Amino acid sequence: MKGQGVGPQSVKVIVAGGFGTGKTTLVGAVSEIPPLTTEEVLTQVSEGVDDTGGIESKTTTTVALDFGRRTIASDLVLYLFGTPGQDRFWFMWDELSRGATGAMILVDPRRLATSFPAIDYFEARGIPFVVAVNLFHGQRRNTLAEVREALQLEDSSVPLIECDARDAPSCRAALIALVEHAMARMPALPEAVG
Amino acid sequence: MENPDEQWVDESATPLFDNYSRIGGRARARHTLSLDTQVRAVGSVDRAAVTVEHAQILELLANRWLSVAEIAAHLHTTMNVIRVHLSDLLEERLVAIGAPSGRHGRPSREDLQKVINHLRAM
Repeated sequence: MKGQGVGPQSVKVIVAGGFGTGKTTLVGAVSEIPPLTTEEVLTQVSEGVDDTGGIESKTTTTVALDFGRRTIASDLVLYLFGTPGQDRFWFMWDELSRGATGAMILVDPRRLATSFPAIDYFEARGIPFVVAVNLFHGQRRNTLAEVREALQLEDSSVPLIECDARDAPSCRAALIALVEHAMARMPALPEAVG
Repeated sequence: MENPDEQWVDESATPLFDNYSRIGGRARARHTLSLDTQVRAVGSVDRAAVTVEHAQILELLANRWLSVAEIAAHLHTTMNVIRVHLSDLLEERLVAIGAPSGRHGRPSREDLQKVINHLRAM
């Protein structure tokens, strides 16, 4: 491509989960800069509503994304992207997922169901993910085994871990678990896969 | 406006209006620029010869690589608008883009190990 430079390699990690599960707190705990927010304006062509004689009906929605960065080396940067709060912005999730190393799904143990759409999304696309049960609100009430049972994870090798989004070492440990899981999922001959 | 007292667009709408008027109403970039595509200014340019927006981007990208998402956040505009500006700057060979983390530029096993080591050492 024209204007191609070498540039640093980026490692993109998605931080997903229902509203209020501590996504931005976790991004901030690892980022070297205060989490940034950017917006994308999405245009959708309405389909099948009525026949307007070839005139397309469009609607626009603005989706906000929080993200952080961590410089690993002069040629390697880690980006953490939080998913938009509303699960309905799936096209934004598709863009976030392109080239992503993996996803961390934060789960509020009191509201497990809010994380079901995220789990379904990454399971369906074969994107490596870990489930981090956020202890943000104090004592957990369920054992991890109970949470795993409730989440009905298709793949029993998906790591299920506890973390406290307010505690930076805990966030880093959860992130390490995700990257290790993603590495374990890499093909033996990474060059053979385009 | 016929009636200057008539507030037909509120303040929050103004930046978007300006942004889109500045990119000629275009909303689709001609280059594939992911959120984490790395961009950097290259060459030298006569500041007077480029638009204010292009000059701002080139200043931000002088001597460093930044992702598309970071450029948009730093310049308080949407990624759509930034992508169009970056496409223009690419055509004019005033910026270069780095390896995207797309299908062909995924991080290697070694890269991921470096991330783990870095997080452990923090």
